[in-house]
Amino acid sequence: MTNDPDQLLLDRILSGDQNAFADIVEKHKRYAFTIAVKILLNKPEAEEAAQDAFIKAYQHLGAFNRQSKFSTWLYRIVFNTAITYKRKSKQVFQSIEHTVIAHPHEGEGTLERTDKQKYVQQAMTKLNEADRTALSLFYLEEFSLEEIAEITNMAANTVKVRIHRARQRLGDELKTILNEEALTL
Amino acid sequence: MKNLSQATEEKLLEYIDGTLRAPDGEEMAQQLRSNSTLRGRYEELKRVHDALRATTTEAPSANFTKAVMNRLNERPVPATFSTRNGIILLVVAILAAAMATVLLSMGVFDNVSTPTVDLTKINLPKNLEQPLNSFHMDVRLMINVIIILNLALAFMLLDRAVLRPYFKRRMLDEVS
Repeated sequence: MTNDPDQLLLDRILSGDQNAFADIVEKHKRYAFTIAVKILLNKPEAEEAAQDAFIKAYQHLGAFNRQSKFSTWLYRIVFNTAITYKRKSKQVFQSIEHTVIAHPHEGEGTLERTDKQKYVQQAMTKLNEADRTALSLFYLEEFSLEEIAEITNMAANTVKVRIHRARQRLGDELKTILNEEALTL
Repeated sequence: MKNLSQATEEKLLEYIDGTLRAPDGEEMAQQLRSNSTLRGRYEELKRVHDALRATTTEAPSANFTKAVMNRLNERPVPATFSTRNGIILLVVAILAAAMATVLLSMGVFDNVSTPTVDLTKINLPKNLEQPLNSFHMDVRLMINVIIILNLALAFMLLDRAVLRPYFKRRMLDEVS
C-alpha cells in the first residue's frame, strides 16, 4: 500500500460520502484534462473524455486495489478513455489549423521565445498520442518515469526511449520549420 | 550536417536533462567545445527542451466539477468480457467444435436413434381443425449446426479478445 494523499478522501467516498468525490475532481481535473487534451488535441472532446474518466473512476472505485497512487490509476483511466475517444473519432486526419496549440507564458518572454514554443507545440501535433502524452507528463515534472509508464500502459524503459526519440524528432521538425520560415523571409 | 549516432544523441539528451554522470558529463562538455556538429545538434535539442519546459497544465471549463458530480449517478456502461475471459471462452469454443467434429467424423452419431417428436398427441383447442404432424429430429444435422455456431462464436471471440486488443496495443507501442 502506498502513502497516498488521496486515501482519506477515498475512504470517505467508499463509506458513502459522495461529496468527497468533488474534492477529488477539483484536485485532479487539471492534469486529467491536460492528458486528454494532449491525446485528442480538441478541448471540447477532451473535456467530455476527462469527465467520463472521472465517472468511470467513481463507478469502479471499489476495484482500485491501492497498490499504486490513486492519481496514477485515475490518469490511466483518463489516458485509456481519451484513446478510446480518439479511435472512435471520425476525424482520421486532423489539420494543424483545427488542433489545440498551446502557447504557454505568452507575453512573458521575447517574441523569439514565444515563436519557438509555438513551433515546438506545432511539431508536437505530429507525434502520436502516447508519445505526446509521455513527453508532456515528463516535462510537467510531476511524475516519475514509472508513473508515466503506468499511465500510458508502457514499460518504464520504453517510456524513456520514446521520450528521447520524440525529442529528437521534435528537434528535426523544429529545424525544418525554422528553415522554411527563413526561406519565406 | 553529419548525423550523430543514436548513442551520442541519447547521451546528449541526458546531458541536457542533467542526468549524465560526472565523467561522461565532463567529456560531453569538452566535446561540445571542439565538435561543431555535436554543438549544432545540442542547440537544436536544447531549443526543444527549453520550449517543452514551459509546458503547463490546461484548465478545463469552470463548471467541470459540477458537470461530473451531476453525472455521477449515471448507470455504468455494462462491461464487456476481459481479454483473459475472452481467450478462455475462445479455447472452450474451439475445443467444443473440434470434439464435435471428431465425434461426427468417427460416426458416433450414425447409430444414435433419431428421436421423433409426436405432435399429434397434443390436445388442441376445438377451433383448431388442422392436426399437427410428427417429425424426426436429425442428430447429425443438430451437431453440424452446433459446430457452425461454435465456430462463429470462436471467430467473434478471436476478433474481440485477441485481434482488436493486439492491434490496439501495437498502435500504442508504435515508435514514431
